[in-house]
Amino acid sequence: MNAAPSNPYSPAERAGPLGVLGRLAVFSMGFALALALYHSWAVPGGGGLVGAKQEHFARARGRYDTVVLGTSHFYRSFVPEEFDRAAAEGGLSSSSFNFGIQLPNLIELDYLFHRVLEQGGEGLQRVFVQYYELTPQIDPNQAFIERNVYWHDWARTRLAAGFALAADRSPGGLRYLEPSRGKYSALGVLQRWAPAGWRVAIEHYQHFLTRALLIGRGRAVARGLLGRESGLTAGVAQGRGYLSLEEENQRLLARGLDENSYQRRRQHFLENRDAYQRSLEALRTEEVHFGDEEWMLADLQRFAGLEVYQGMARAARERGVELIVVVMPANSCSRVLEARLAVELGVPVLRFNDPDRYPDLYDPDLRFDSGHLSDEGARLFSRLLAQRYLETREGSQ
Amino acid sequence: MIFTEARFLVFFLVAFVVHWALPTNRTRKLWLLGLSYLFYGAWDWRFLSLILFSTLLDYGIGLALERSESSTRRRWLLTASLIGNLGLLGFFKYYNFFVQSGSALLSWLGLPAHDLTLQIILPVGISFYTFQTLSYTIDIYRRKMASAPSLLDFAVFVGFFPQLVAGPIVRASHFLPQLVEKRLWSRVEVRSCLTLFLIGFIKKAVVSDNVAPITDQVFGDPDSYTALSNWVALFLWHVQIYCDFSGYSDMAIATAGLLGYHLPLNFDFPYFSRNIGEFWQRWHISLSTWFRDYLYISLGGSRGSGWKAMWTGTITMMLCGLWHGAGWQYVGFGVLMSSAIILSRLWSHFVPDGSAPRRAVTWLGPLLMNYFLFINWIVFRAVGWEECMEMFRIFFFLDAGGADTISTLWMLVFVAFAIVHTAFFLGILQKWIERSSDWVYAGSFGFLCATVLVFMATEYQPFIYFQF
Repeated sequence: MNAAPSNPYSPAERAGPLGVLGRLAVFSMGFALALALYHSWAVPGGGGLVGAKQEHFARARGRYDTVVLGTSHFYRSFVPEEFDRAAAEGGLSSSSFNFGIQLPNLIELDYLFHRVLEQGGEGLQRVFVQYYELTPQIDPNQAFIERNVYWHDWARTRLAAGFALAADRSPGGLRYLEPSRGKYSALGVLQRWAPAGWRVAIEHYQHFLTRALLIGRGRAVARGLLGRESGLTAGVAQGRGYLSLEEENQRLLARGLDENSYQRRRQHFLENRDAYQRSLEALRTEEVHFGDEEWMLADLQRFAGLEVYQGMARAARERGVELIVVVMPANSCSRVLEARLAVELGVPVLRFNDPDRYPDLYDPDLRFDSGHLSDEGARLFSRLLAQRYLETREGSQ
Repeated sequence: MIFTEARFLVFFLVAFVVHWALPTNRTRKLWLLGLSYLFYGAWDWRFLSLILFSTLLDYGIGLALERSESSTRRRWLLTASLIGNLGLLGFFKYYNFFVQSGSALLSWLGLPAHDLTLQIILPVGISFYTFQTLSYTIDIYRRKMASAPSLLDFAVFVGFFPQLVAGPIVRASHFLPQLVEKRLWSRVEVRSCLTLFLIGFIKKAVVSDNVAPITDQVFGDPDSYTALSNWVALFLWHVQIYCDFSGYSDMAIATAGLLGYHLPLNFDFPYFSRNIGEFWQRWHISLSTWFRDYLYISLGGSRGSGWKAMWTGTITMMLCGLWHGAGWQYVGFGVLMSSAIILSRLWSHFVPDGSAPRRAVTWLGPLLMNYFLFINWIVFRAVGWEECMEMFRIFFFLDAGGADTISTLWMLVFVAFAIVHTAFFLGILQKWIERSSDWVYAGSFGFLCATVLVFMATEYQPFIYFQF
């Protein structure tokens, strides 16, 4: 690994244009062959919990008829056994799986939704999808990590790029989030002249290429080749995708990580219960409040998000699977949109972000932090979800 | 922008196609200069002013030196070049180091010390291009070469992007003549350059970058890890530092080669050296020869008494160590290296040639040399003196306080590296590459390129030598 060989060809022996093209074709064939092999071996992307959940779900093909898909709110709030038990009490036999993941992008959820439809087998009957907002730009400081790359198949890339370009055309436009490094880069200065939507769209296409070329996925390929299951995948199988925040926090504390983010959030919640109560009051009275991110036009965000859910509804209908949209008991809402969702999508929309109707779900004692339920709260939510779903079924029948 | 980034590949593809499409030598040089400044400005456009300053200063001084016959005036001109270049380097790289060391000394003496440190960003590649421009003025001063034919030529020599930020440190006498004549595509050794670039890419992106998080982890807190894990990390660092730096040099030489320019060899299988003296003839050759030609020889070299030569060598190695970074551990690194060279010379002097101990040491040479390098790497890589002492304790006495571990499977990286490196050292792989037909080569190259992309690390890891 040091010195290259000297060129054995004299200039007179150089290939002509056709020869060069031929060699390029052979090079491309070698390249494509390697990629095809590695694609066939690689375990599902996303890394960490996301990869583990996909890996388990693919292996458990046909085992689950009910899947919930959403953010950490769903991940920490849906206890499969509890849901199945409550459903059985209502006369519905089910076998459910929690596909909640932390901090997803809505288009990532769309990708996972389609994967669930593909891999769910004949037994798959219903998918609960959490209502969530669309964020067109990937956090620039997290760009090209496996988690942000794996969902960029061609369809999702086009969707994401399309939204970014549409944002450019909308009044007010899109504000581009600059990465923390590269402030004085000459290329950065040049890039700043380009419209934000273009920059975001190009980034999505770069992510697509990274995915297509399997860049940096060596471990996934090796694991697929060796057929090794990660410890995380085994854990996912054990809890059917659910892990309470208490247990996760305990595990980290046992490893000496006293200042982990869960613990910090828990402490913050316990010390700021007044603020939590105030946010509940606001939720009761405020008609439209849409998340924390103000850099994206809320109207466009809603419109684009709706389009994604419409796509999911179409795909579910084609596959003969029931789609149920769930608005989680969080501290934000958009009453207007929620009302419109059910009409536009033609699917049940189960709203739980109503402290008056579900006071227990907002009880501080059943919460781990301001946004997430405790294990006890999660069990309650799972039962309520099953009950609400059964009511919807009865209503439709 | 670094060689392993996708945007560099796009940048280079455009550079390559336009370069060979341009009809005249002058337009090509203008193109290269513009590209080089864009390449450097991709880090921080503000520091382009430093390159321009260095370029204008040394070009002007070079012209003046050539025209001047007065030795006093020539000495002044050289001093101005030294002050200008070393002043830049001293301020940006060593100001805080000297201020902190001075404060520490004053505190130790019980005198009041004020914090005079500044928030200074180290401009990438400053240690490399200041040494290049210095070699130019010194060579003209020594009447070893004529001044650059034009400011454009000199600016291309200073800013040539393949070697601008991490070497090799190219001498003006080697590079400027190449700018006089138009480069011919027919003379470009395409296959060699492509192979060398891919080898460099593998070293950096597949080996070094994948290993870096592990070594960072252990060297950051050696006492938390077991003795075995510390040893594994040391083996990995041995591989990482070589792959990182020689990988950059390989890619620099290859990209320059594809544009028709020749850069000197910078690494020649240094881990196969039989002693530290030989190691420095094979490791970062352009730096070690720079120090030899412009410092060691200027200080008297091996002339005079043995003690004087040893002293001169020690000073040179200390400064060579300090060149690697503004910290006392780098001075310590230089002193250790120098001590090893002196010991090796004393050994050769006092132990008769052909004697059993001499034969044994010669036979065990590479092993002993690598063992000694391990000791040096601890000094070089440790994040502070405390960690350095901890690592020494673990290294020599296997006395580790921690229970954290890193997988011993990582040693496979070392084993794989050793096998492939030896195969190249013995010329086995080169022969296979040379003998294969263009078609086999093209297909294998495609397969390997895809493999490299899959197994490369995606987390951004700047080249280690960028900080120097």
